[in-house]
Formats: sequence, C-alpha cells, structure tokens
Amino acid sequence: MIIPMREMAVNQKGKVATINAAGVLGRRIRDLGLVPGVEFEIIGRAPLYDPVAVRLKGFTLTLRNSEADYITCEVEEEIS
Amino acid sequence: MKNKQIFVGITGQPNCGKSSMFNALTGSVGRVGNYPGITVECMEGHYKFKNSDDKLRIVDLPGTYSLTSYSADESVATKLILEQQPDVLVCMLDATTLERSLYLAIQLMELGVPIVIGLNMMDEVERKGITIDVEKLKAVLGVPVVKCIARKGEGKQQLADAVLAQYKKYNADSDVNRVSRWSGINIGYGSDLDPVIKDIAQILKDDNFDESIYSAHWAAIKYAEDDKEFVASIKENHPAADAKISKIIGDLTSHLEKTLHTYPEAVIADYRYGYISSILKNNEVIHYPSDMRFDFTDKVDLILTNRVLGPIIMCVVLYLLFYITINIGAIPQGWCEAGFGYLKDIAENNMTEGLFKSLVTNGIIDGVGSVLSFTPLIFVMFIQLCFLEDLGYMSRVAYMLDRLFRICGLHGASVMPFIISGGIPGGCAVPGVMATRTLRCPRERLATILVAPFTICGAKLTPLVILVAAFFDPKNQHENKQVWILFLITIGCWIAALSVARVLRWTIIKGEPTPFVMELPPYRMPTFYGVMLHSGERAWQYAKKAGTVILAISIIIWAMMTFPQLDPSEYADHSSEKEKLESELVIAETAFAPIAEQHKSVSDKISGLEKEIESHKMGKKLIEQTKAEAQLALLNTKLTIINKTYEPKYENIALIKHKISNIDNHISEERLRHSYAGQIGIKLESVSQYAGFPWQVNIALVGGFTAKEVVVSVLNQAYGMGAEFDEESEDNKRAIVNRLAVEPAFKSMPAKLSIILFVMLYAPCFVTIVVIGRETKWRWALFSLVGSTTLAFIISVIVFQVGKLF
Repeated sequence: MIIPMREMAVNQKGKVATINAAGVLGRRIRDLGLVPGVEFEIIGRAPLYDPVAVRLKGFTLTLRNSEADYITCEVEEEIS
Repeated sequence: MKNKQIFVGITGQPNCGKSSMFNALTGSVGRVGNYPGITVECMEGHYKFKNSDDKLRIVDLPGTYSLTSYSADESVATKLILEQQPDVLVCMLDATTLERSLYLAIQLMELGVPIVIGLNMMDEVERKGITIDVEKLKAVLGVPVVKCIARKGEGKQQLADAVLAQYKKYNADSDVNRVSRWSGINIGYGSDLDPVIKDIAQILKDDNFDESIYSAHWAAIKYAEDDKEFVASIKENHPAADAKISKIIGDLTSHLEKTLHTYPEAVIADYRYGYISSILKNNEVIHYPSDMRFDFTDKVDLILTNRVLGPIIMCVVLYLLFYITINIGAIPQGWCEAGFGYLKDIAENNMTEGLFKSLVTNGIIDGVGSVLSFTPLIFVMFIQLCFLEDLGYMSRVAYMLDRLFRICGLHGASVMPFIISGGIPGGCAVPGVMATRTLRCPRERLATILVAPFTICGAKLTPLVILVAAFFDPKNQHENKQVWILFLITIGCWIAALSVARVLRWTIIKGEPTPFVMELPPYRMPTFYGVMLHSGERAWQYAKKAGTVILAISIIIWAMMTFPQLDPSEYADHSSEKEKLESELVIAETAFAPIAEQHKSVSDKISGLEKEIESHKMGKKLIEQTKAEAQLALLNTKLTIINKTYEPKYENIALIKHKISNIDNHISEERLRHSYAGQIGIKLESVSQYAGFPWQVNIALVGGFTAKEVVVSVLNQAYGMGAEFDEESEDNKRAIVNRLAVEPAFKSMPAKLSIILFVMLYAPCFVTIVVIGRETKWRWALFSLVGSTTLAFIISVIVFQVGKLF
C-alpha cells in the first residue's frame, strides 16, 4: 500500500516510493539520503506533532509535514 | 617540487568530524581564511611533516551534503574547490552513515580532483557492531582511504602521508595542465541522460570551453542537475552554447516528466546512490549487524525530545544559556569596562581641559569602550552555542520549536537569538544578532536578525523601568504592579517581534520557506579545544569588525551632542549670577570655618567619650564610667550652644551650593538644547507632537541611539536636573521618576502608553546596527534603523491620537 509520509504513524516502517518535489526542496531531500527504495522508520514527532523524525540506515532526519507530503511510501498493509 | 606548500582543503558532510580532523592536523594555529564575498567562516592552518620539509596549508571548508548548490552560502565549498583549486582534497566520511557520506565523495571523484578519504568515527562503527572492509573500499573506489578517529587525533599522520603521496602522484608531470592530470570517474546515468550529457559536453567543447578548471563532461552534468549558480557562470562566457543547451535540457525535462514523472536532477541522484550501493553490495564492503542496537542517542532522545519533558528541559537549557551569557559574561565585561574607565581617568587627569579632551574621553574612549566591552560577553555566549551545536542539541531545539516559529515565517532555531537578545528582559541584541550564525537558512536568518532587537535588552530595561515607575507608581508603593506592567511589556515585545517577522516574510523577505529537512545528528561530546577555537575566533571577528566602524560613529555622535557650542555670552546672566554666588560661598565658608572646627572637635570628643563609657561598662568600672558620663553631659551642652550658630550657617552654605548647581544644570540644559542633537530634538517636536513627545523626550530618544540606558541620563539633563546621572544612585532615579510623574506632557494615559511603546520598538542602538550591517548588508542595517523607528512612531501616533478621542 502506498501512502504519503505525513499519514504514517510513529514507529511505522516503510520504504520510499516516490519523491515528487523538484527544485531546492527535492534536491535537499535527496542530498540527505531520502531516495526511492530507501527503508526507514518514523521514530517520533515534535511536541506539536510537526516536524517528524525519520530513522534511516545509520542516521536520523527530521522534516516538516508539509515537506513529507511530497514523499510517498510503501508500507505494510495494516491488519485491522 | 620540494619544499612547496601543498594546499589542502578538508571537506565533508556536516557532523562528519571534519573540523575535529582540521583541529587535530593544524594544532593551535587556526585562523579564519579571508575569501572575498564569503560570509561563512573558513578556518585555515598548517601541518608540518616530521621527517621532511613539506608543509600542508589546510583550509576547513564549510560542511556540505553535495556539490550542487541551491543558495549562495551553500555553494561556498564548491566555489572554493573550483576557484581556489586546492592541490588535494581530504574528504571526511562519517563511517556510521557510509552510503550517504559517499554521496559527496562520489561527486568529488566525478569532478576528478585528487582526493584522500578519511573514514572517520571508526570507534562508533565498532560499537554499533558494523564491519567495514577498508581495503576493499580502497580498491573499489580507487582512492586512498584512511581510518580515523578524528576526535582523538587518530589517523591524522596517515592521512597527511596519504595527502603527500597523492600530491606527488598527481604532480609528477607538471608540464601537463591540472585537469588533464586528473582522472574522474564516469558514472552512467541511464539511457535517457547519458546521450544528452555527451551532446552537451560536445557543444561546450565546440564552443572552445576552457577545461583547465573542470571538464566539459562535468559541466554537462551540472547542466542536467539544474545547478543554477553554476550554470549562470557558464552562460556568461558561452551565451550561444547555453541557448542550445537550454533547449536540450528543456526537451529532456519534459520527456522525463511525461514518461517517468521525474526530473533530470532526481534521475542523477538516483543513479549516484545506485552506484554507491552497488559498489558496496557487490564487493561486500560493509556488514551491518542483524539487529541494529538501540543506541545511546535514541535513549537520550526519548527524554530530550519527549512531548512533555522535552520542552521543559529545553526551557531550562535556554534559561541557563541566557543566564550564563548575561550574568557570567558580565563579569569579564565588567573588567573590560573598568579597564576603559581607568584609561578615561588617565586621560581626564593628564589632558588639558577642552574640546580635544572631551572628544577623547566622552567620544572615543566611551564609544569604543562600550563596544569592545561586549567582546567577552559574545565569547561566553559562543562557547555555549558552539557546545550545544557540536553536542547536537541545537537541532533538537529547532525540531521542537519549528512548528511555532514557522507560523511567523521563521525557523525553529530562531529561538536562540530571541532569548539572548532580550526575549527574557535583560539580554543584549549584539550577541543576539551574532547568534543567528547558527541559522543556515538565509531568509529566516535575515528576518530573525531584523526583529530580534525588538525584545528587551538590559539597556532598554533602564528607561522602561523609570517610565513605568513614573507613570504607574510614582510613590513606589506597589512594586508588584510595576513588575506586572513590565511583564506585559515583555509579552508585547514578543508579539511585536513575531508579527513584524511575519509581515517581513510576506513582503520584502518573501519566498518559500527554506527546506527544513535536516539531520538530527547523534549526540557527541564536543572537544574543549574545538569549542574554544571556534568561539574565540567569532568573538575576535566581532571585536575586529565592529571596532573599526564604531570609532567613526562614536566621533560623529559625540560631535552631535557637543556642537555647535553655546556662546558664553548667551548664558552671561547665569554666569554672572554664578560668579556672585561663588563669591558669596567663599565668604560664607570663611566665616563658617572656625565654628565648623569647634563643632568638629567637640563632636570628636563626644564620640571618643561614648566609646570610653562603653568600655567602662564592659569592664564594670563604675567610678570611671560616672566620671566620663559627667564629662559627656558637659560636652553635649557645649555642642548645643555651638549648634545654634553652626546650623544656620551650614544650611546657608548648602543653599548657595544648591543654587550654583541649579545654574549649572540650567546651563547644561541650554548647552544640550543648543547642540545639533538638541536642535534635532526641538525641530522634531513639530512631528513628534502627534505622538505626544515634548522636545526633552526627543533629545533623549536621539541620545538613546548611542545606548538605550542613555535615554534616562539625557532626560535628566534635558529637564534641567544635571548632566551627571548615576544609574546606581537611588536618589538620582527617584528624582527623575518624580519629575516625569508631574510632567504635564505625560498626564494622560495615551501619552504614557505612546512613549512606552516608542521606547519598546524604536531603532536598536548603533552597536546593534553596526553588527547587523556586518552580519548582513549595510542596506539591511539602514532598513532596521529607519524601519523600526517608523514602525514605533506610527504605533505611538495611533495610540496617542485614538486615545485622545476617549
């Protein structure tokens, strides 16, 4: 199932599917190692729910929800 | 080739330990390199080999995640590499984030510049249970790789040796030009991009592209990456080729968008990461443990960024930062001030009375002294900021507060400058503006610099306290009320600063927010040496940069308060009256002398006897005590008789002295009125009347530009209460409070609010203005000066005029 990163819950794992940002933001996201195929885990959110902290292999990134909107992720189907 | 200084640049991604390695290599001789047009600090130092005469000149380049630039500041590293042309680059990698760290190294290898890789944080890699086969990495990359633990200085010698070897290898044949000696790697970018890159390179070559700095192939990749800063420089020299290339790129972009929903630059990034992971995987360079342990940083973050505990701890840290800067920093600041005070005393005692003396003491020493005294304060602040930054805590602060500050178009890290400037009343805008250096986003940084001075610095607190006391509690009966009003004023300043920031970001500093995406680096204990080196350097820059401008401005301000001088004939009446009083004083004092002597000797005897009686009492010597008491009674009677003549004479002398000081005060008031500053104040009355300010206040506000606490002493002088005002003296303060409380101009509530609001918001002091100019551009300093004064005036006028209607 592919969902925007914003909708992911804390402690949920996923894999980057697409990054739909061009220009400065897109470049920054890629420079910091978020590219399609990369596996990650949402490890926390700031006290006001935004920004979000993401753990990649070996390091942690933080980005605003408005920036996470450009990233779609492949996640395991939730068993409800 | 022997004995040549080899020019080495150290590059790497932020937090990779680049500066630690620089410090380890260069020892204690770091200094900031001077590169034109660059605002980012680049430290420079030397390394000497033990067993040869070769020497390395090393520059610590600003950390960058990639060579592609998206703002002027971010491109500094790339520009230095291309323009300063280091002989060898050291690329430091954080081995714990090997894949991403290699992203920068790969780009350097594409460019082809000789590099040596420093594989740092090997101790952390071991702790995490990751294994890296360095020999294999060296083989697959084809460049020297050296294992390091930069914090401990491990690997620095091997690294320097590798640099020397690399230099010798690339410079063996010095006849061939620089770039053709290089051997860049060639990464395939897929069937869509590769032919296009080849075409572009050919077009450039056909247009006689100069390949002495970088190859046409590399330039073509930059075109495909849409690196605007970089492309602009080629466009200048090859307009025809650029037009052709732009068309090719345009076609490519629309093709990729249609077929793959992506952009050329994204494709390039994907292929680069793909290249890295394939060489790592295919050659089994790196092994991660099956379970990546929950590490120290994660545990600490559970507390430090916890939803409840996080903000509480942050408040404590911010308060400590503020407290230590303002209170501990004040101690060495006091020494500096005392030093300048001593200089001033020397000048005052040894120079002949006159204009030149006044210039030296009141103009130069006071002006320059007030600025240089800030240096220790700034040093103390930067020690803490560097510590928190190197520790990794600053990014957590930005992370936690970003949501709040973003509402106003600022960045989470804007909070530090706010707090230090006076978000907690009593700060100082000078270190506050300097603290914005930790903000990496240019627009947010500029907005923060422009609004942080609205908060209440220690100097601004002085006039505000006096005004609040005079207007709301002249009898000093309700201290709580005063504190509450000051609290409201603080909140008001925050609201003003944040709203102005919002408006600025909507208008003159508009533009998309700079991407926030950043790393939350692992917590690492900063090295004492690194922190001291960087904070010392920043404090020194402040002293050097601000000091030079301030001398000129100090002299101008002094001249404005001093010239034109009042002609003695204009206060001849006062002078003759003063002379008369002075001769009266001499007569009175002569007549007073004998009786004063008698009074003194009797008083002395009395106090001697009182002591004697006391000791007799202790020793229980009843007879001696009775004798002394009888003597005391006798003396007391004598004193009463003396007092009958003594007291009226004493009071008379006090009265004459008072009259003389009144005349002096009056003359100093006239002098001030007569000076340019005074004339400006009086002329401004025609404008300032709309806000309800009399000319005395105008002069004080003009004077307040030198330093906000001056507002009070100039008011004192303008209201004819003397040129000397001692801030520490309660009597002085009471006097001006009482005077302002009965001032008819401030009878009404709108008038009171109007002046308080103006003092809250108007222009920062000139030291802050100079620092703003140095940290940004002079036009922003001017904007801050004019803009905040205009804003303050408009608000005061509205409050005064609307208030009058009720």
